[in-house]
Amino acid sequence: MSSSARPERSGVQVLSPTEPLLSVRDLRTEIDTENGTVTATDGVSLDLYEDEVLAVVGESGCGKTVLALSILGLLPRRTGRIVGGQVLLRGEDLAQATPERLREIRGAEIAMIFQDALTGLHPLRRVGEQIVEMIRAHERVPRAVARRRAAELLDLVGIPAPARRADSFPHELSGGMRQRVMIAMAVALEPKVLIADEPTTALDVTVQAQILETLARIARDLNGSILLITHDFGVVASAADRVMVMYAGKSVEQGQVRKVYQRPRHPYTAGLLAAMPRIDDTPGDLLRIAGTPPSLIRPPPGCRFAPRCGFATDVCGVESPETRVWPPGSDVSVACHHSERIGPAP
Amino acid sequence: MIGYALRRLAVTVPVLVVISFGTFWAAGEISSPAAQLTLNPRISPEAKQAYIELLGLDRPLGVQYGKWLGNFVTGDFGTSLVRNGQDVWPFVERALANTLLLVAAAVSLSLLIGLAVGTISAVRRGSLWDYTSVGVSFLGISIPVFWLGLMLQLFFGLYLANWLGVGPPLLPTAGIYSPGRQGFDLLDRVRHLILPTMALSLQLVAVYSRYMRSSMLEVMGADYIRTARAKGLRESRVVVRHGMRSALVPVTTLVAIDIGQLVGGLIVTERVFQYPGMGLLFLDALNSGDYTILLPVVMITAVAVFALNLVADLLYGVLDPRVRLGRGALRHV
Repeated sequence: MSSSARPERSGVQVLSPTEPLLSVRDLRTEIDTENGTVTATDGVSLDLYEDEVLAVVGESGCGKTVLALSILGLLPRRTGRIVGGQVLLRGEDLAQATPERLREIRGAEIAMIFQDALTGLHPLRRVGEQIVEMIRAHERVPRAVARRRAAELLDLVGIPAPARRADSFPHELSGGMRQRVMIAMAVALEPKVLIADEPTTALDVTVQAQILETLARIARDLNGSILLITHDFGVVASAADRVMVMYAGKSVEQGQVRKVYQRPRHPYTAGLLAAMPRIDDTPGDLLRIAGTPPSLIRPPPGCRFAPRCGFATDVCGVESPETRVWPPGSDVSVACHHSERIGPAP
Repeated sequence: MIGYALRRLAVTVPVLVVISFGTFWAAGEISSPAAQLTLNPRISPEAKQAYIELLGLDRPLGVQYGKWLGNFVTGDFGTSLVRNGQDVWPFVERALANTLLLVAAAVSLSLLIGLAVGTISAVRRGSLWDYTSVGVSFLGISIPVFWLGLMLQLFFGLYLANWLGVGPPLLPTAGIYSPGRQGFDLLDRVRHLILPTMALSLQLVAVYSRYMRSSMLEVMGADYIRTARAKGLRESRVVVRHGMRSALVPVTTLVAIDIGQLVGGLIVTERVFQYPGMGLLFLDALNSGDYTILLPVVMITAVAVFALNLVADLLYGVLDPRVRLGRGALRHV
């Protein structure tokens, strides 16, 4: 909140290579629902470094979208709030930032891509105009210049005849084209961080791959980092450098995608990977994790995965596991009492 | 869209014929110009019969109606049966102009207030402002306009001047001109417009603000509003350019339909304030059996309702690019 704690605007501060660009520390977020108040993220921490794609993966309702919205202070105003923790962008705590400061950061330094571009873009306004608005909300440029830049951006994300397409309404474009517009708008101001919340979920599988490719290419070009929210392990494998697995409002495992996939250290991660259908599976082979996630209104004590876990012992039902680096010296951290017993995916 | 409009208009023609015939028949049943002659002992049966034949009242109803319709569609509205055979059109024209002025004043005032109140209520849902405006709106919808009109007349025409100890009433309570005034006087017209506009507007503000509130509440929960905030736009821009832009679409069509119904529907307001518009002319013509005036009044009212319903549909297509008015759309007429 105080201006003394705030670093100078972008570019002035020199980052050491090990210092994260965006760091979420012990974030606790509450959402009011009809049935009670849900602790949607319960002490979640993550670090996003420069030039990397960090995937946050988990099933519906695990808190991954709430996590994304919390970073930019976009939680539903009446029902959602951050109750603890920090969101540090180059050391500046966004959880304590003034609305005006947050407004400056949104779009310019951290931009967001939402899941469904049909409902995410304004249905009554031309797509070019929506990009122009993004540019002119943060930069004093003449409308004509902004329009030209919007067309360039549409070209950049692979939209044919961009100058003409800028005059289209969202409903006149295909799903893939709409998502490209969404990406063009998000990268308009070359933000350092892109948060993509299920950017490909509403799309056909073939289009998904194209969109992920576009996203990765642009992030590379801009030297930006991506926080990729998804429920799809396939997307994680093809697009992310590191992965964070969330379960019931908590981070259960975090590490290099390759290492986590090779040898998951949390039973939930192992279960999810085992549940992924493979092309050489015979029908009926599909594994699944028994049971359902717990209610987050009054979550059970101890490890939240314990009721569904084959490895659970007495301690799991009593004591919530600390997040620790495992194996020691690696860059994988996991929140499980029994990590040493978890084998590779069957 | 032009083709669509023409098809829609074509559909309304048979309806207008039915309405006009119904009115023609009913007016003849309610009263006859010849009835007045019957009551007058100094007119001989022969003179009466001659008059009836002159007016063509002895011919079959279908023939009478056909003759009237033929004249009506060629712009000849005929002469008044009661007002010494004067042409009908000038009466109707004046009444229509007066009513349109009152409707324009009331609707624009109500939109200005109603949209603002509704938007603020939606943005600050659950606030004191919201609850107060909900309460006042229910009051506004519940108060009958004749009672409100009388109260306004008493207050501004009598009590207020008495309390303040000033001489003449602050606002005129009836008519559109002060007695004895010559020529056009803008200020005088406006002063006469204030009370009827107020009486009419309370209800309109209540309806428009309720409608705008619910429309805004729906829109402000949409994904694209979250996108707008994520772009770092100022909240005022999010509310006006993104929220209101969408919320106004259904409100606009409601208002357009409303205006059509107000053109012929101000009977109570105009009666209370002796405001010489379409409603008052309708009442006078009905009471005196002057169906050559009654018919154009009813017809204009019907056309206004149809036309503004059409305008509402066309506006929807203009305001929302997703709406395409085509052949399929006609099925919903």
